[in-house]
Amino acid sequence: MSVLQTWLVQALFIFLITGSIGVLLDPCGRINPESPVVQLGSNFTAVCVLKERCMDYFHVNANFIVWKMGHFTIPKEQYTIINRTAASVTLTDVTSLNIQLTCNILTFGQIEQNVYGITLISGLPPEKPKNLNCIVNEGKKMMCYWDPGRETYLETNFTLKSEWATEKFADCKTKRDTPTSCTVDYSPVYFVNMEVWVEAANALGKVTSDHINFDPVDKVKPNTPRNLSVSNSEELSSILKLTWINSNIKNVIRLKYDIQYRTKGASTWSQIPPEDTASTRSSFTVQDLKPFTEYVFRIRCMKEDGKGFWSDWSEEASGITYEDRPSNTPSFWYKIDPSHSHGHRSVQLMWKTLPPFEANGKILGYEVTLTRWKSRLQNYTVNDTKLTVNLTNDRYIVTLTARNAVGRSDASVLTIPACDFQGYLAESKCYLITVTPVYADGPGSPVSIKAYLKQAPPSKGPTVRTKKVGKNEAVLEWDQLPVDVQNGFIRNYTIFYRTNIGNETAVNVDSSHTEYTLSSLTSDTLYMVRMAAYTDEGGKDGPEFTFTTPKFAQGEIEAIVVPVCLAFLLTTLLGVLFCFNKRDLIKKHIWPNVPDPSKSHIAQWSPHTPPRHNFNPKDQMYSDGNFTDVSVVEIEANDKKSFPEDLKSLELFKKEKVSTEGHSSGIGGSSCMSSSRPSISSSDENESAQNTSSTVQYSTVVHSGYRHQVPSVQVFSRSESTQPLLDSEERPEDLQLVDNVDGGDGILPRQQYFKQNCSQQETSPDISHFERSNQVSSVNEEDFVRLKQQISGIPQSCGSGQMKMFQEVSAADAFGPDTEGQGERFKTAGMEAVLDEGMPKSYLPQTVRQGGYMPQ
Amino acid sequence: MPTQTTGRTLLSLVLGLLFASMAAMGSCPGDFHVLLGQLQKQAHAMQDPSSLLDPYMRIQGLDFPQLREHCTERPGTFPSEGALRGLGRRSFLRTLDATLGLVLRRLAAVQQQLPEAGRLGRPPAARLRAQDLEMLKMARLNIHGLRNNIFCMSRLLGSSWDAAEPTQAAPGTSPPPTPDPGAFQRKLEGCRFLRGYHRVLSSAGQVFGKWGKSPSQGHRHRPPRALPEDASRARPSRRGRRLVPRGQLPR
Repeated sequence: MSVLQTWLVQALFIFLITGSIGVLLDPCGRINPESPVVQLGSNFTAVCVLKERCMDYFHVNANFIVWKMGHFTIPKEQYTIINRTAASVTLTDVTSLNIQLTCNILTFGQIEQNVYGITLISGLPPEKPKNLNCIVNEGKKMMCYWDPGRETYLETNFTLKSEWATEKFADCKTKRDTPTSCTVDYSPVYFVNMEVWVEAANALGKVTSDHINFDPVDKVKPNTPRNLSVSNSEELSSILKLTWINSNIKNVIRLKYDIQYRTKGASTWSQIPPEDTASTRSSFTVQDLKPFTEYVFRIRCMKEDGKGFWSDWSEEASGITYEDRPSNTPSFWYKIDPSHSHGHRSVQLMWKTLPPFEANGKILGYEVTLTRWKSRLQNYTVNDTKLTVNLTNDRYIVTLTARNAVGRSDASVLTIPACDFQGYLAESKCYLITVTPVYADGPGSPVSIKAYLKQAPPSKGPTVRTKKVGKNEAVLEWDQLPVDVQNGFIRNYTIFYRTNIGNETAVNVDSSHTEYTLSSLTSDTLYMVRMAAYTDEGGKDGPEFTFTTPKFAQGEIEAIVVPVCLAFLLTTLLGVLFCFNKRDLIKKHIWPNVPDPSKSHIAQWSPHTPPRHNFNPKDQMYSDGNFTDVSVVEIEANDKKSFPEDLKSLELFKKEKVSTEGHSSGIGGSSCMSSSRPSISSSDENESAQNTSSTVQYSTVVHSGYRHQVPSVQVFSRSESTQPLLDSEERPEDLQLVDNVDGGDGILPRQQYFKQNCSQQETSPDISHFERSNQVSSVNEEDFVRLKQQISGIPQSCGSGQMKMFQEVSAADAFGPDTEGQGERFKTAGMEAVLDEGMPKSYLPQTVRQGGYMPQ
Repeated sequence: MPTQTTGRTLLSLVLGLLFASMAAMGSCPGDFHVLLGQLQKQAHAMQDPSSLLDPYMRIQGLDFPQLREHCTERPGTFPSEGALRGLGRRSFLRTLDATLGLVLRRLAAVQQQLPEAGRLGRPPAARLRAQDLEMLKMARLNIHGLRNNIFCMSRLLGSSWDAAEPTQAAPGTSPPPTPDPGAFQRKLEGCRFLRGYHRVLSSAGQVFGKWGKSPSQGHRHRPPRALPEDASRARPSRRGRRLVPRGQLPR
């Protein structure tokens, strides 16, 4: 029972204690916010809310609230009474990282009692991580690192995120001690692009870095090449061969290397040119090394294209190049013991050991050879660097070579003069005096100088000659005097030159020159020049040299002649062109057409001259009174197919006749084949009449080609002669035809002529009318009708035979589409033959008609 | 109101898919030749038996010369090189992806039967086996990487491809050669399977090599679209069926 009472008392006590502590621990108010984190430099406002119970107990309200930062009371100006229970305080520009802010009340008006307190933490939001990069150490997992930016003063977490296009990898969270790097927990997969970025977050915010996208193989840092070894070559003393073992990454990527070397003991490294080690390999031969020298090497590698990282340097490895023969001769001298016995002397030869870079190996010994003038050799092999020999008083030549395992050096030669040697120096002789200093460690650089015991004038003067001679100048040149004739130091030269009649001029020239230009010379003049060389003791003239300056400078003649020739040619050309252009005018004035009165006759003008047809602008060009000056024949093929037929008819014609070339009219000349411009002779009727008064024009027909060539087309040409032609003279073959065929009126040949030219649109004036008829010109047919009318009543019996002939020829001509028209034309031609019967046969005066000439 | 909601849902779904697609392409190389080079190098590296078959044989206790002779590819398990060459590019990619999916499943099954690296017995042998297990794990990761690049190439060629569901092959659909094989036979069959896997990767490397030489049809990044060429090829023709690995449903 007592136990129970004790237990109850204890329980009551505990309950009362607990209740009183609860009351005591229950704060009189609270501050909002309770765990604030604010950005440095910003404002912060906290609110303290009092509890009613405390307010009643302590007889206070919000006006009694006092805010404190640590032990410092915040000024009342920063307070704001919100209501009876709450008051706030505003902190401006928070700069402290950690602030203890308390809300207090003045109990009973004067006793300050703490109500609540908070810790205000301030800092900065994280900056965007920069310079994110990753490295894949071969065989290890990928590590990425970045620059976290400014200090935030807050706990900031960095998370590395990575993903493929199809997979997202687990986040990599940084450890507290390494917030700027993170190693992912998966092995990198080469040749698969991945995207990586970093997320930084703290209480004030979260920010993400730029994403980087890469293939992990481009971030590889290979393992160091291992087992680097160096070996030399007996064949070549300047090379060392390096071999090493590549890391396994070589199975995945191609590598390039960086090989460095230095001589042992040196501090600076030399580098093998990168282009020589730009591909995967496991050995390399280094060249251009010094023989018998120890070199230290190291190597590293990386991906061939330079993406990724260099591996660490390998362990250093060293090797010695093989020996080579000594590259230099030992420094060599002698010392003669002054206490020599009669006839002999003791000479000590001494030399220095070669430095390693010249010895090129271990020197095994020295070979000394002594040669007396015209005597035998004495050879010595010495391991030491000195040798004492007993020599006669003669002059000796001593050679010394150093020898190593590979070979021996070049010989170093020394002359030991004869014992009785006394110096004799001649005057006027040039001596080269050389002084070689001998230091403790060998000879120094020798210095030489030329000297004369006594100078004298040169024994011979320089020989001068011309190098180039111009109109007013000449370039002289000469050779330096040989040292044997100088007899002293040549101080200067003097050049003397003169003309035949002039005074001599002297020019001084420095002794270093071998060339001089004489200027202001007179052209086309003979000059005499000589030269003297001077030493300190005098001078000596050389032989005289003559030269003549030319009258004209080089190119001067060409400068005159060429423009003159060009001007002449130009003038000639212009003259020819002018004559060519004005040839008609010239012809008119120089060779005017003079009619022959003795052969003139009265022309009969046709009252039925039809108006001009087929008038073309070209005709108008010749509408002035000078038409006689122009002869135009226009030939136009109606139907090209008919040419062969034409040629047949021509051939028929040619068989019996010689070329009409030979029958062209004498004075004016037949323009047989002379005109390359076939055209129709055209002129106004009036013009024709006018022209006829002064000139009578003729035409002829060319049946054969030039020089027995068959013309492709028949050519009608028109004589420009002012002489009336005899018909027989014009066409003797026609006369023959007349005799042979018909014995008639002699018209037939002309008709034949017309006939054969039926394929031509228009021809010479005397047949123009008919030729027009041959063409498909209805207007021309009207002309024929008119003609018919004119000659009506004339019997046509004689034309019948000719008609037949025409028809035959016409059958061969295949060009005319209108056979009726042809028939009519044949008829007309026959009628014309009858018409011409009454005309004199010797010539055919014609008058000009429209587009041609009408037989009168 | 319900119509509006449905419209918004559809819009957000479309946009979501669009952005997801864009995000998925984010880490793919944009250049055809770069991607092709990666595929070639991957195929070249993974055709090496030391990357998967050798560790598998060591793990399974098959690493004996006599057994190696018997470990030959079972014909018909994987498409031949000639058949792969005859495929269009997208069909080829799809076939290769399906093949790799099949290999992944087989490897997962094998790994499930193997002990953890930490329980491998005594140190020297345990270390070797741990290395082999690590290689097996790495091989799986490499296959995932290759499938990732296949996906990227497929996208680059303009083919629609569901990355989340790269293959339609049901797990374990490759039928065992015998109805109830013994454990040894199963190991040997796995060996033959992996032999075929290395061979098919070698063939794939050859095909990719041809891609580099022939005028490319996918030099430019084209938006995904249905292609008539592959539409016809993708049809479940007999030829198409034959080319798909065993157990693979033609797509």
